[in-house]
Amino acid sequence: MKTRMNDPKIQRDTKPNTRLTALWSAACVLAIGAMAWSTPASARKLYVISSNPTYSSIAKRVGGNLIRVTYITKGDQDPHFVRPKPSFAVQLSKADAFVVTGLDLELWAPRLTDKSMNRSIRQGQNGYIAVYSGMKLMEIPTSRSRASGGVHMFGNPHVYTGPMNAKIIAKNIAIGLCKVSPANCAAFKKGYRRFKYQINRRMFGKKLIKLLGAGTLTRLTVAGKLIPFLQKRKYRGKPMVDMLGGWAKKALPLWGQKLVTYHKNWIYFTKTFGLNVIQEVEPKPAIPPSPQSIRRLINTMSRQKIKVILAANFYDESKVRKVCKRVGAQSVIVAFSVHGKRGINSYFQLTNHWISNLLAAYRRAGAFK
Amino acid sequence: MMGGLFADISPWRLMALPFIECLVLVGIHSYLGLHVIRRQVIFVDLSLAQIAALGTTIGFLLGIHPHGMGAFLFSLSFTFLGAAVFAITRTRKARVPQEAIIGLVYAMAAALMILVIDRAPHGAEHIKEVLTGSILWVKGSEVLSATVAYAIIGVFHFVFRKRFMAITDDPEGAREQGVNVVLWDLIFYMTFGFVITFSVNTAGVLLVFVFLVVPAVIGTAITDNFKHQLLIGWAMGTVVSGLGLVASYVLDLPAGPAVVSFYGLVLLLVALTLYVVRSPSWLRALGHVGMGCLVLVLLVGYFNVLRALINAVPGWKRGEHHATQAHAPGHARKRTAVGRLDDLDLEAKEKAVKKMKDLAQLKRFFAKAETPGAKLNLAERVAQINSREGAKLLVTVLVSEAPIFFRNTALERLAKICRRPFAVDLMEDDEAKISKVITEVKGCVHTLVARPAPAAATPPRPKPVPAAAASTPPG
Repeated sequence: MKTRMNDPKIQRDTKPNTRLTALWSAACVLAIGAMAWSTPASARKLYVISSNPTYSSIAKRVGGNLIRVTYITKGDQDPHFVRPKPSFAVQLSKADAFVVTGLDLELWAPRLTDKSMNRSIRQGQNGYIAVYSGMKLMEIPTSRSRASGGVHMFGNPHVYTGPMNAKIIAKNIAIGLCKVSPANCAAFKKGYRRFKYQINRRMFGKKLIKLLGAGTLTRLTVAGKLIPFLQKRKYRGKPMVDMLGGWAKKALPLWGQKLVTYHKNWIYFTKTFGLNVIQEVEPKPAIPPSPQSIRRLINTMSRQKIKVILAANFYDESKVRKVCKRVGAQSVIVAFSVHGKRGINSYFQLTNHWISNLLAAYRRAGAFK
Repeated sequence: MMGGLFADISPWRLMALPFIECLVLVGIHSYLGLHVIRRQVIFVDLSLAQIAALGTTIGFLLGIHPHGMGAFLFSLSFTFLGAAVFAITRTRKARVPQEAIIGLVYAMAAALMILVIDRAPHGAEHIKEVLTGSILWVKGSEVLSATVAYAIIGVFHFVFRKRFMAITDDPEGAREQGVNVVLWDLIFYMTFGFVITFSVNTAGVLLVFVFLVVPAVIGTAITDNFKHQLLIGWAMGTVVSGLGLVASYVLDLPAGPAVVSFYGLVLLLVALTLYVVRSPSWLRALGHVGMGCLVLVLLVGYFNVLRALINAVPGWKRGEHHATQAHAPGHARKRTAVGRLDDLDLEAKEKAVKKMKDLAQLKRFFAKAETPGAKLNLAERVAQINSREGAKLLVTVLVSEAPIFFRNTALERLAKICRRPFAVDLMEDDEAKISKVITEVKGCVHTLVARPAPAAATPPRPKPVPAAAASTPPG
């Protein structure tokens, strides 16, 4: 260091420095210009942002052309987390409504809304739409210790995997949009009713709805008793299960089948279609499997002859496939949300995607012989 | 109603706090970085930051919120332990370079953290957050407390600046003058660790390292005067973090890593400029730089070709997904709307209805019942107790708007009470036939009610139908 001090060459550095500064200031001006220019103009349509694309797609069904929708977490990302990007706060600052689960699924949401400084979408304000309200939540924990992993304190928040919950989501969105824009309330209600009817029809088929009514069918489904009920009861001498249509008919072979899921995020789906979740790949929610837990899982699977592991496509596929290979089971890696995979652009396609993939897996595993 | 429009957020408001936080960080870190570079313990920062993160992580596992005071105390305590290690290991007769020990401490802390975090939910993402930080989300109060903390450390260092310079530049000389070098080293590392703990919490390990090293490196590369180095470092840090944040905003990139990459870029540019400026022949130096650029272009081309090749060969392409994230506890919210839907166990309700005996109560329930299943259940129960009363209720179900199954079940039940078949398919048959049958049923019930007979005996009460056939969907 001391020798360098005496080096005459080092004293020559003043001129280039001014040149450098000029260069930097030019770059600075350019960048700031770009920033001001990139701020988009606001549109007249209601701007609805949701935490994930599934809510967005339902909101679009409810709001139609009156709203513009966008979402924060991508379809193939874990809904638990969002990577901090400035654009999210900017988007939210312009939002008229923010659609979230309302439980502790999106822990990032409050910080993001704070950052956006948009008061109208804070919790409790008109623009804050929590879709869970009015649902029968499952797995409400009795203890709140973190020792048992990433437990959701209010119950399982992965609500939209159950088609019956999708109707409640649409209802809550319609109610929320009505608060934000009372003038268009009739249109939102109409959109909600249309979506509800579509879900009912696709779930049960027209004939069964006429026979039993959507209300009864929904209650039976939420209680996980749809198929036993239809098998037991008769209409004019014929078991009503013969009159099934829609997803319920398509998924009928799945009723009572055993499976393992990666995370506890399918509970509403499995209850709806009578699938029997024996275990999760994760030893505790949100804790990646350890060698010990994998060994236990493999033992359970071969003992109970479980043929299918269901996982969302943002989890570690290699682990799932490894376990499947060991016990000769099928892995079903599916999109967990709308836009989670190419070609899945609506809630209906998403549910179809889940059912079809599971059916194919059980068929491959020879479960339907 | 259009609240979003009025609350529109300008880029300035969004990026102002992160920028101020950057300025605050640059202020103290450029200074400490100069010390670190002179001491030639570059990685001491990474190491201390990792120890701080280990402390936070262990706290996290013990149930302490990762962004609170508790977590800070945890990581601070760990950092002080690290400071003690570094102060003691700066020996005079260094057979093992201190950098080796620093590197080891880093690796150990990182490994331990991974071991610990493996037990915690969304651990991988917690590690990622520790690395990249969340400077975009920094709060005003956090900036304020950091400013105060750094100011205290800054004043302390200013007061004892000569002593700190002495032990940094010439520890031997200081020792000869009777300074307790180990003690002052410990004090240096403790203040250093204090700053690191503070900054890692908001800025993340990577950003802190860059704030520490890059301005100091640029300053040292340009001049040997400590004061000038510090001024250059501050100026550089301000400009570069500002530009990094602008880039983060314009290109929509995560803020922390964007600033880090920008620092790297600037360092490269400065190094190249200095190389050209200082070389005896400008032209030759420029030629070298040009060649470097050419190599860079070739490398990019090479990787593109490689990618195309991998995509072309089947079986080489395989992706894996990773995305789980930090899952902080807290944000307790009351469950209110959940209680609204009762825990409806269909069979339990049916059983409860079957046990009821009070006719008046059953009728009251029937009037109040909201679902067709409940109405049918109650009507059937009434019919079991008193077939005439039951028949009246069953007729209400039959003529109601209820879904066909319930009306049909009521019809089948009425057929048993009237002891005659009503052959009609409510689903398929036309309106005329259905209304004809309904008139028939009404007639039967009318005569039934008109007949003066003891309720329970005549007409003979239908046998309690086997559960499977008689039990109806509840509601």
